[in-house]
Amino acid sequence: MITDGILMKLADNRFWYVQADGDLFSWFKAHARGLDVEVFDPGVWVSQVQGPLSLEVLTAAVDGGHPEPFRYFDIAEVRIAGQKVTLSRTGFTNELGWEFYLGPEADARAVGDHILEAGEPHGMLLVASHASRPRRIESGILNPGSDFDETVTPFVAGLGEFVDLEKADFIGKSALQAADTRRRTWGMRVQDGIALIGNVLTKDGSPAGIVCSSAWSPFLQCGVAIVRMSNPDQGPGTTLEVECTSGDRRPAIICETPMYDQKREIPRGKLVNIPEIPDDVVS
Amino acid sequence: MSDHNNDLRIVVKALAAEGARPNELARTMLPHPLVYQELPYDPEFCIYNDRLMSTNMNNASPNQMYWSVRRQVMIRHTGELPLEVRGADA
Repeated sequence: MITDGILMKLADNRFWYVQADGDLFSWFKAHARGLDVEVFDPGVWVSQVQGPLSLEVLTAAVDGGHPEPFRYFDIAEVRIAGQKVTLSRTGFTNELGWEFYLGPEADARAVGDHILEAGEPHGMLLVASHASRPRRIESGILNPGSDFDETVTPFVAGLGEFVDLEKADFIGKSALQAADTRRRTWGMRVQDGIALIGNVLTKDGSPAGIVCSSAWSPFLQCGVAIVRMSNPDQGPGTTLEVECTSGDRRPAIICETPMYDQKREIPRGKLVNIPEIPDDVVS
Repeated sequence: MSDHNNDLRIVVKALAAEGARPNELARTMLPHPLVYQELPYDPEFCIYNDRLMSTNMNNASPNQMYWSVRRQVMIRHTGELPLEVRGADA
C-alpha cells in the first residue's frame, strides 16, 4: 500500500484525494494516461478541529452557522470570515470533528484568526501532531509509512475487508489473490510503559514482531501501540514482553482495535461520552 | 536508520530569516499558511508530503493535548496533501 486518504467529490468531474504522506501524484499521473483529465496539486492546506465540542466551534465559525446537511464524511462549501472554505466531517482522532481546506485564493490569516476566536469560548487548544497519536492508536487508525508501507498488503494491515477480489482486473489483483490473507497488524496494550518503536517485541524470549507506532494513553492508563506480528496466529490475547522508553522490558498484550467505541459511534456523533480525568493523572 | 543514530531526535526548527541568503532547497518543507499560530510555542516540525507539520509545541503537555481531544476541542494544522483530478474522465 502506498498511502491512504479521503476522496472528496467536489463536482461530477472534479475530485480531491486528500492523501497522507507518500507519493500518490505519480500513481495518479500514470493512471491518467490516455484519459481526458488533469492531475495537479491545487495548493490547498488542511487543518483539523476535533473533539466533543468541535461542532459548537463550527457553528460559531461558519458565516451563517452550521452547514446542512453535514453528516459524517460529508463535505460542504462555506464561507468563514467571508472567505470561501471547503469542509469535511472527517479527522484523524475517531472523535467528533471536521477539517477545513484553505485554497490559495483564501485569506488564510482571516480564516485562521476567526476560527481561533470561535474556539476560544470552548477552550479550543492548538496542538501538534503528537496530540493525536494516542487517540488514533486507541482507535486503530493506521499511519502510512509507520503502520504500513509498500511491503504490507491490506490483508496484513487488517484492511482485508476492503479488498474486492471479485472486481474486474485491477493493479495488484493477482498479487493479492496469491497473498496470505491472514492479519498480522493489531493493537497492543503495555503495562506501565511506553513501547519503543522497532524490533522490540519478544514472546517467551524470541523475537515476535515490530512496534510500528507507540504512545501513552492517559485514558486507558497504559501504553498503546500498533504492532505487526511475525506469526499470524499470535493475535489478540497474546502476551508479550516489550522494550520500553524507560529502558526495561514490560508485559504487553495484543488487542483488537478500536480499543473502545468498537462501533465508532463517537466520531459519528451518536455517542457523547466525555471521560473524567483519573485522579492520579497530571492533566 | 543505523543503530548509532538511535540516540538522536531529529526535527526541523523555524528560524528568523532576516539577513539569511535564499535557500531553494527549502521548497521541500513548505510551511502551513497558519503556521504563524504555532510559532509562539517553539514548534518542532517533521516533513510530511514535502510540507512542514508540527510534532511538538510548548503550549501544553502531551496529557493536556490528549484531554483536549477527548473532553473539549483542539485545532491542528496538518501536512495532508489534496491532489485534484479534474476533467471529463475524472
